[in-house]
Amino acid sequence: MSDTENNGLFLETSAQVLRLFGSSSVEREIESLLRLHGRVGTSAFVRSEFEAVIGGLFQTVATYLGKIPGQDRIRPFLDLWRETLGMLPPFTPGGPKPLAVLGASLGVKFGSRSVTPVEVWNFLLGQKTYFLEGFFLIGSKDLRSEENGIFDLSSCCSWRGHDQIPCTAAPSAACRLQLICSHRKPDFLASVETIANAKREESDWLKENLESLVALDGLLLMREIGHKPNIFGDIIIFWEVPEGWTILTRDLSFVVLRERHRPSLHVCRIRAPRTPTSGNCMIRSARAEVALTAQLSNYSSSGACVICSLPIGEIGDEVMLSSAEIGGSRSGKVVWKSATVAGSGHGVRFVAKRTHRPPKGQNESTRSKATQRPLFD
Amino acid sequence: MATAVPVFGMDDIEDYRTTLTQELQKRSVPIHFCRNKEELIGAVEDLECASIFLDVDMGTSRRREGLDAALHLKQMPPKKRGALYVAILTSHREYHEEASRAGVDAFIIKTNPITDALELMIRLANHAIEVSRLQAEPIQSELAEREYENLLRQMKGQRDNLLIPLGTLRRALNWPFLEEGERCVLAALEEQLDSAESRGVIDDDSLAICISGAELLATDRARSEARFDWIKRLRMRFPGGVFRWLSGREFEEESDE
Repeated sequence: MSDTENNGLFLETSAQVLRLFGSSSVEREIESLLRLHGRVGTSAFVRSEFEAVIGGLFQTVATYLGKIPGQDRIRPFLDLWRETLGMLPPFTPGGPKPLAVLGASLGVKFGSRSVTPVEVWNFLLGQKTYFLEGFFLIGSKDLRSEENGIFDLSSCCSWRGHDQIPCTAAPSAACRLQLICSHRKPDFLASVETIANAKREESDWLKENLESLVALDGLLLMREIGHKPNIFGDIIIFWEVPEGWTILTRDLSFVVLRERHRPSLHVCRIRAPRTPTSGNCMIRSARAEVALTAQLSNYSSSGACVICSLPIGEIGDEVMLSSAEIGGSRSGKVVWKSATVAGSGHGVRFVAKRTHRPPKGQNESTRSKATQRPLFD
Repeated sequence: MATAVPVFGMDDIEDYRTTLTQELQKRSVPIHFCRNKEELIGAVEDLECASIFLDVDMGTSRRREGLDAALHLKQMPPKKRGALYVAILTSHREYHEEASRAGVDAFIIKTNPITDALELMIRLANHAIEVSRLQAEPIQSELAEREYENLLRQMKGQRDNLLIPLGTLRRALNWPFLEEGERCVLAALEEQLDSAESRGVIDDDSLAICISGAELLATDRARSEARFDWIKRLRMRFPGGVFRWLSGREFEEESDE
């Protein structure tokens, strides 16, 4: 099959991470999407990023666990974890959140059991191997097989930790990154400009350096990119996706890039999981004098769907939503409205983030099972 | 079990040899200096392991003899060369590239014999750790072979009492010299049995996969490619994630933009 057959599903890094570390509903949804697509693939950059973040996190923690004195001495897991955290460098791969999740999850796993550093070290490194291997296995499909694919338009000696012989005067024939940065330089720079103006995390840096990037050619441009994988990662991945394929991602950047540069691609976004409910809530619009009782249809850490007997305002209106299920009162904005059989539906996006916690008496497993709505927009 | 590693040296400056020998002697580390490459190779070729420190330039008409000796030692059969720690100890920084190409384990620039003796001591300590590890590996293999056979028997016969194979798995996860594939299979099996044990039941398919995992361990410590097929089976059997402890919604809990 050729790369240009437009029935493939491309898993971006966030999709890979959620598939392997998220709840089983993500994996099930990916399975159902796979049935709609003949092929599944990912890219060389996604693989490197996954290895750097997930492999790097497990490896870093294991390395420091391995430095704790008394490797065979049994101790409560929490003491061991505290000791490890005290030794870890200020920055760990993926940032503080994955480390916190890993620590909390290991705490659940080992509980009050006493362990040795060696046991946890072996366990973490065993899992690291499992996850790096699992990266290639999606349901019954293997990304390394011929009918699927790992598309590579990014291998280059400019990346840190590369295993290629460094190019000196000009990119060698083995350089894949030149296919984006040199052969399609105008397209590439146009996509850089799009992200520079898209108010994304990397936008400020790109805006400040856009002119100097335009002036760079060949190896010099690739060297600059190679030093900033976090800045250019999404753009590189975007160009690695085969024509006509669907990108499965959580990242809004791909929607922005697709609209401007490759409308033939499809973007399927993974959204935050919703918890369905039928409880009541109070909602008050900035325009209204009194709060109304409404039905909370579902909610996530970032927003909620509310059904009222009457429309409560216009899109963009500020509202205050109160319910024990969302953890008290949250202010937000109406982002969509629609008429439903049950009444007037409103999508509310919360203004301030709050870490979602399950309501009392509802444990993690019941929450996971409760998620029935599709995770993909 | 950890044997003292014999230490050899080659240097043409007598004063340096004498002071270095005395400094090492103070810390109970005997060093034997050889006069030339032939004597050195003759002395180490039948040893199980050795640490060797070589001056590159052995004086007029014997230029680079230390480097030649290092090259010769590093071209010995892999098993032998792995047990030999060969370091260049020289005043000539310009040999660094060549020494690196010859595959030496360390390149040390001479300062004075007292500092150099301390530097040698820490290198020797580090090499002793590596040697201990090499010596432990066949023993680890023997232990693993016995225990994985045991694990297999337990899994086939203890369906109603998973705590027994679980105990064996956890004991194995405490071994310090596991291999990459072995760790992966052990961690996955531990997780499966742990969750089955807490549920109080294991279904036939899951048990069959666990037994296949134990077979991989018992056959060759899960070194073979069959491990990848086993992981594939495991992922298909548990599509939501084999490691339930890590598969929650915490990773999903980011807001939509």
